[in-house]
Amino acid sequence: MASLYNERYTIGITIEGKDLDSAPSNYSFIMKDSINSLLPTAMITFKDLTGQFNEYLSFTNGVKINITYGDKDSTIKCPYVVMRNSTPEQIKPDNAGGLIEIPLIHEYLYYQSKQSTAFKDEISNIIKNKVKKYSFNSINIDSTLNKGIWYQPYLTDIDFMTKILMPFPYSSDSENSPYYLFIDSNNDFYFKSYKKLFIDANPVQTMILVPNTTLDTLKKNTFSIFNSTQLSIMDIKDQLHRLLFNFDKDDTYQDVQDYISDYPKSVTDAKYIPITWKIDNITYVGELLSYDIDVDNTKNNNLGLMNNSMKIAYGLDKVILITNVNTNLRSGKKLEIKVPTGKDSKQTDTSQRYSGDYLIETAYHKWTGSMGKTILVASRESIKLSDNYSRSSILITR
Amino acid sequence: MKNTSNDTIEYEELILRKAKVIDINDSDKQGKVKIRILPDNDGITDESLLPWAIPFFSHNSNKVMSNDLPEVNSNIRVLIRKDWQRFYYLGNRYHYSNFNFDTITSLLNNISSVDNKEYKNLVFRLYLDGSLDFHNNSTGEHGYIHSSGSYFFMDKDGYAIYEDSSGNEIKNTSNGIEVFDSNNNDVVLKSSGIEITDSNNNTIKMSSSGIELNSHLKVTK
Repeated sequence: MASLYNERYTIGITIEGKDLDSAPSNYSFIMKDSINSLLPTAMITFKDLTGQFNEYLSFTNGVKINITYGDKDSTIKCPYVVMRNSTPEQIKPDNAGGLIEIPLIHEYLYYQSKQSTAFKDEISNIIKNKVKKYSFNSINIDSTLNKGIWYQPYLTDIDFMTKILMPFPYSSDSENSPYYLFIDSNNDFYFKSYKKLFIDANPVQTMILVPNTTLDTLKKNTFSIFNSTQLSIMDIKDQLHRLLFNFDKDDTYQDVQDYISDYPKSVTDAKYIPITWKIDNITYVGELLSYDIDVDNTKNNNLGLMNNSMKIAYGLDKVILITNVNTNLRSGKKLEIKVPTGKDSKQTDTSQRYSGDYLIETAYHKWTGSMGKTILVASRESIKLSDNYSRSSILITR
Repeated sequence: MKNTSNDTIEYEELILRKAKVIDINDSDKQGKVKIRILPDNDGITDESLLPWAIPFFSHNSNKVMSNDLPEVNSNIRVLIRKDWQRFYYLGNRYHYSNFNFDTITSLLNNISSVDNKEYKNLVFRLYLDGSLDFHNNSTGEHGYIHSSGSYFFMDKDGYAIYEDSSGNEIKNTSNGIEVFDSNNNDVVLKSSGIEITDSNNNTIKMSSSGIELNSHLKVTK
């Protein structure tokens, strides 16, 4: 059962349903979720000085552990299983005590079984029917238009969804944006298009950079540490300018060329992609499904392939920020960030380059043993710049 | 920082599997066969969901067509797109117990004029109905034996023979053409008109106006 610690933090760890018999000052943990990974993970670092927890198999591989974490305003709860129990720092040579590191992964993995089956249905319905068998805190699913026969050839549900289904989801509602499949650190399941997660969504929080401030003094809407980073050009080269080919219904070779700036289709206002590149050069060649058999889902499956293989481009421009623990900020949430151009956050001028809307790509919620913090990797594909912005003409534009 | 192989559209990548042929009666009549990939599809109880595979190798173009379906219940090899969206069949899976050359030799023994029956020289196909197509890569002998025992055969010298299961023969030899009836039946030629001319220009002509004989020699009884 979670309890209030230091009148500020809500913390609770259960092992196979029983409360961990140790004060929060004896352990630390970090909970991680990401839109790029189905299963959230966590790591507990625990001081088992006498070795009694290991002695009585508390953290044996596969043991179920629930973590509840947050502050007075928001709390998350997530079920995990132990991935691997290890004691990297043994304190006393005469027992197994020490600093135990316990990597955890979402409990959904525990229930996986390889199945041989097939479904004639929409991808979204198949996923919905799969995940409703597990007790997620919530299930959030966008519909798709990929009705066909989908094979699960002795794959687990996780592998089936991530390897067989996820290259293809498409819907006219998604406006040619990719779909994401992930569980966040609050045990919420998501199968959502980028359009619904980001384009159509409102920011859950506006965050303002307050430099040179300690975490303790930060308010909910401020952050103190800010780093920006971009994917390597080598990571993004397969999306810059693609030539995609197949054979049509008349057995004729055909190809189509697209650009990173073509996606998502629904964003029609001007945008700047922070890359300068010789975009006329083809940087990737790939093969779509051919029409060598007459099946009605080939067109939408190819559209899904094109959209979902652009996914990496949506996280081209990243920022990393650190704030006081705020468990409302989880992967898949939209964030508005304001980065003042000067040292004082009260300045009204904000950086056009870094301010704006981002999607939280990865969220870490950390308990250090004495305080909590939230670390976010937020990303976007493009930036909004004024027409006269210096050097904007060098960038790839829509 | 790519996350999965789904981050790019690769060239078609195929995986090799074994399958059992469930149905060859393609309602579209396009050469597809319904397969159960083993063991990957063995949990599919509704056979309508089993995949239809198309031939991986084909002679088909917009002018040429061929059809050569594997036997129902036979084990075949298939190639599958790694996303399980396309299925191609290669041909039957080999198993030594299914290969018995004595069966071929036994059938060839029914044609006395076959000169060479050596295993290493023979290209053949034994069909489901029991008939045999064969060609000898060394001698050029070529033939077809019907399951009834009738056969067409071209020998090593290029002479052809047709013999039916009753022993009636039409034979092309170095001496000319021979027609042989083994059952004391008449040799029948039926047409609106028949003309037989030998190298001496002797002619028998049968037509609607009667029979004409034209000969340099006498007609004797």
